[in-house]
Amino acid sequence: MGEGIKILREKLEDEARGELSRLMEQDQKNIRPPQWKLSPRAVLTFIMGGEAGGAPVRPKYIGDRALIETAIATLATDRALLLTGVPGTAKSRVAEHLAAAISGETAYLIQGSSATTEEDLLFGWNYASLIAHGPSMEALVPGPVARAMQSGRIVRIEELTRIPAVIQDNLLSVLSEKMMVIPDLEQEIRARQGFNLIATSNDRDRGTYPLSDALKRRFNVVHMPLPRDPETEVEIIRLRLAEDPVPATGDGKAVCPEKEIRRIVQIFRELREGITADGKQKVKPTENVLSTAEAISAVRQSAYLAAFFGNGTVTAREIAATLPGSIIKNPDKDGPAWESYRQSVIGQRTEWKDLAQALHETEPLKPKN
Amino acid sequence: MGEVRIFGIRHHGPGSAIRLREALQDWQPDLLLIELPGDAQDLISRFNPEEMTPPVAMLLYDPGDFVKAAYFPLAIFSPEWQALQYAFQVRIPVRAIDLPIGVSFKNTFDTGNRVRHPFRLLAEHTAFEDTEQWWDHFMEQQPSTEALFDSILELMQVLREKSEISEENKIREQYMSRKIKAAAGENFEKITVVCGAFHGPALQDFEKTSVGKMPKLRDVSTESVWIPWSYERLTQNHAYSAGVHRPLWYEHIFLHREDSPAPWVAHLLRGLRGKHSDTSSASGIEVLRLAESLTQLRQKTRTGLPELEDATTSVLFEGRTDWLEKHFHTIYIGEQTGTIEQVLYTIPLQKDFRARIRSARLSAVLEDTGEKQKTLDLRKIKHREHSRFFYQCRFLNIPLATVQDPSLSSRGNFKEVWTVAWDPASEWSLIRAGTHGTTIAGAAYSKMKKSIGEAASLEALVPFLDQAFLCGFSDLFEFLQNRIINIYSLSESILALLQALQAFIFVDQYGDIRYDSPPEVHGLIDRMGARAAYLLPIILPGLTENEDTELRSQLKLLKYTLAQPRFGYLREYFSRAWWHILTQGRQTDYYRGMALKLCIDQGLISEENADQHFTRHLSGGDPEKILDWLEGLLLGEILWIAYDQSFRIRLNQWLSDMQEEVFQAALPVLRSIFSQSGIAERKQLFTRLTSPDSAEAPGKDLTGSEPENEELEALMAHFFPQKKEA
Repeated sequence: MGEGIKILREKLEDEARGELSRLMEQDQKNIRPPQWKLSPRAVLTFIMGGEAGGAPVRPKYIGDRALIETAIATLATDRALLLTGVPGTAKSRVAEHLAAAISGETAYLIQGSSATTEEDLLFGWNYASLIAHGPSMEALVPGPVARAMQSGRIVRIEELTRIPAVIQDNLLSVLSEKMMVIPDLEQEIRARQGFNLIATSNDRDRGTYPLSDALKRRFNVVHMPLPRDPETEVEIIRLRLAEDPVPATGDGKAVCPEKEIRRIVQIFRELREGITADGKQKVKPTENVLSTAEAISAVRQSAYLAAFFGNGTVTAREIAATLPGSIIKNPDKDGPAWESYRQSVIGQRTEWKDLAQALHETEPLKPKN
Repeated sequence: MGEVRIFGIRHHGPGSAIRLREALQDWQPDLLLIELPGDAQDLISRFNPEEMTPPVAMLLYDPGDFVKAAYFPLAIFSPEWQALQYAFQVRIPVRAIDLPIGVSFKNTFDTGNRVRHPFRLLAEHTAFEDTEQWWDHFMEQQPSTEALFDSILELMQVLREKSEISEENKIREQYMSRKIKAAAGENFEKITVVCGAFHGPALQDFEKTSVGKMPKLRDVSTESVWIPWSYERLTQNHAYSAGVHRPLWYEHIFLHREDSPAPWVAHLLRGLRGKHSDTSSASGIEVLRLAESLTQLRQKTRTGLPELEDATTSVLFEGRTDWLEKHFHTIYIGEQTGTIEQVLYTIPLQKDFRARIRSARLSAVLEDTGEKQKTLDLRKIKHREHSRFFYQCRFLNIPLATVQDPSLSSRGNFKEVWTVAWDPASEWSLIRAGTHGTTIAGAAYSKMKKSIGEAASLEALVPFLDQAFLCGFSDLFEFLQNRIINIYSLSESILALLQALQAFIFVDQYGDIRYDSPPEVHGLIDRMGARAAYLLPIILPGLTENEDTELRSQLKLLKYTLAQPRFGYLREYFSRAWWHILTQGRQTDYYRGMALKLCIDQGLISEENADQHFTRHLSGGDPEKILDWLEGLLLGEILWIAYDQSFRIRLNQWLSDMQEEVFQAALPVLRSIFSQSGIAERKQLFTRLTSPDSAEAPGKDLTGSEPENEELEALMAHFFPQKKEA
């Protein structure tokens, strides 16, 4: 069943196998922390890009190198790493790539939510076995953390602050003692070398459970900022589009000209910062953070529109069809902000006449929220 | 002929300082030539590191023109300091070979695009934020000290070829080369030259550089003195220091280079603990581990500032970098100041200054740059002296103490609160003040006497009244009195007269707090009061706008002063003046309002007469003028409204008849008139007007008929929004 159909998203370590093995080969002589597949230096190259075995290594993160260095150095000291930042600042992406490069394995993952339980975080039981034979190691169903501990790998916990505080605190002994007690068996699982934990958390979300001070002290924190300047942001989007191109008719690929990427980035940044790029006009900011991730998906969506319904090249028409939907998340707050931006900024820019026109035409098609 | 070795250094570079010290110890020269101005030779010859703790500075100045002065600061991590210290320890002669600063005072050279900080230039070129990091990365790779200084020379040679050598540098280098050549011809075996690295190649080749005609350079003879310096000052740019941004870090590098960064993290935690409560030693260890891990990852030989900062951000501050700005001063600059032994103070005033500070038990202010509070009780003779000392310093422009909020330590009160702080660089102000005398008191006295002598008009003399009084110069005060007696009757300036009058009244009232036998000023007050009262009605028509504002505040002040019973006779004079003003002109303005109120208070006009005035001024006319008049009339005493029925009725009439737009426009001014009275008074007025039945109210009939009362209430609500909201 399903044989022959391509998997939607390959495991990262498989997808990047070529780069990783080239890096590994080149890395033979360098000192690696126990159980690490690559040296810290090579991990850095894997993420920031560079060159290995005569071929280029794609950059996976574009931004402050020092942040990634701090993240890698943290994992090398066996302290846990917490990546924070507003949504869409590549926290999860960096975490995944770190796990792939360091452990060669991205399977150990907990997606945190308010429904995450102690069993998800630590271990559960195979009840059939538990009832039949009583508590034993065989009846134990270890969770991702426990399995990563046993195999000396890196485990990721996404959205740590969405997990209720009481459940979060179960990590305390894992992080400080590197062990997990199983009271029923009077045994414990002890972490092997190479085990570590990367957590991510949003600092803009509502309804979250902030970390207790005790837990916070066990993490080194790296705060992921929004891209510093439009050039960086354009670069990120271009890269992401190239990484996973949108197919168009025949063997072709949908194209988003740099000019259009720039325009989307400018719109997002102006709405995010509350002021126009030339610093002359105040803009009512949206409630929605308008992260780079959202800019990326806006560009991709435009590219799909161009591929299926256009001539394969993104124009103002596609952008006009995509933008309102990606910017307006909360119609009460974001709606008026977008409307005022459309009229007072887009409408006033003579060089953006095409976009203003296209927005005007697509208006009736605007999705009703 | 002796061998000459050039050691090119980086000014205030700790790495450079360490290597220089090693180089000197290795080579053991018998003469040290140093790139310091020739006129600092005196200071250098008498240099003794035991007599001072860095940071200190050499101050060279032109005694004839204090605008011309130059500082040469030295910290423990300055290579020059290390060189001087070495020379002192092994007792070898030191010569300052640079062009005397007196020459630069006299001539201006074309400095062109001067390469002032060659290492910083190189560091920026290789994208190193901190020059010391660059030094560490490139220069410390050299195994031997000799090789290090050779490679500096080579590096600078390349840099020099690529840059233009300014006229100034050419002259200085030629001058220095001649000095080196002269020394080489003497009886020395190993001559070492310590100079800024950029000059290295030129001085290496001193034979060639010294050739050529030197332009004739005139100079001024300078004086020089050692003064204490501070790390705070070191962060600022000076002619010679490149503005060391993080002096404490440099000190740390110099003292602990061979150690791990542990002492720095300890220092960091100490600095943070004051403000950031939950920093334990355990987190310090984590900072250290992460920093070391980062150092390895970045393939650096030593853990540097970026690693330590990144690690601190991540471990202690949840990834937020704003701590750097917040704690920068504590962690990187600090409040340390250097010290200088008394014997080195060549100017007597400097010694007297310190003696007086000690006697005020304020020695602590000389030790760091922090602020101290000093509360004085002027009833104590000693404290009275301290207060005079502070005022004398203030008069001499010595930035030592500022008196705090005068309302807390008002001049009439016996309590005086001062904020005292001393910036070592202010030593300069002492040297300047030293031209006036040998003690603080003496200098202030002679400076004031001179200024009084030069002052020709009443306006110019008046400011000194306060000064002389507060500085405790009672004979100067007398001298001033005599000068004023001679000229006051000629003065047409009502403002100066009123100011002087105020000053004299103040002395009359409070003189006995500051003096055992206060100056006698009664006669003068009498005469000046009469003169001012005579002038007041005359000058009113011709006031300029500035004078007008100033006069209003002076008159207000005077009104309060004269309210005291002891000044009954002065009140008399002014009553006549106000009566004049009231009857003389019919215009509606501030002074007419003020005159009316004062005449009512003094019982100079009948109730009917007053009512006529109210009606006349409030009926019709420009609302702006009426408001002005009202301001003068009320003068912050709004409670009067509650007592004067006839005025209240007229006021109410005027307000009720006002058109809405006019009222809206007048509202801000009305508000400001009312807000001149305290909030308690306003509340009181409100209660009195709105509840006339209350026991306190004088009687029901005061408020007139009921409908009027309602209107009043509505109006009052405008003035008391807080009441309305409540």
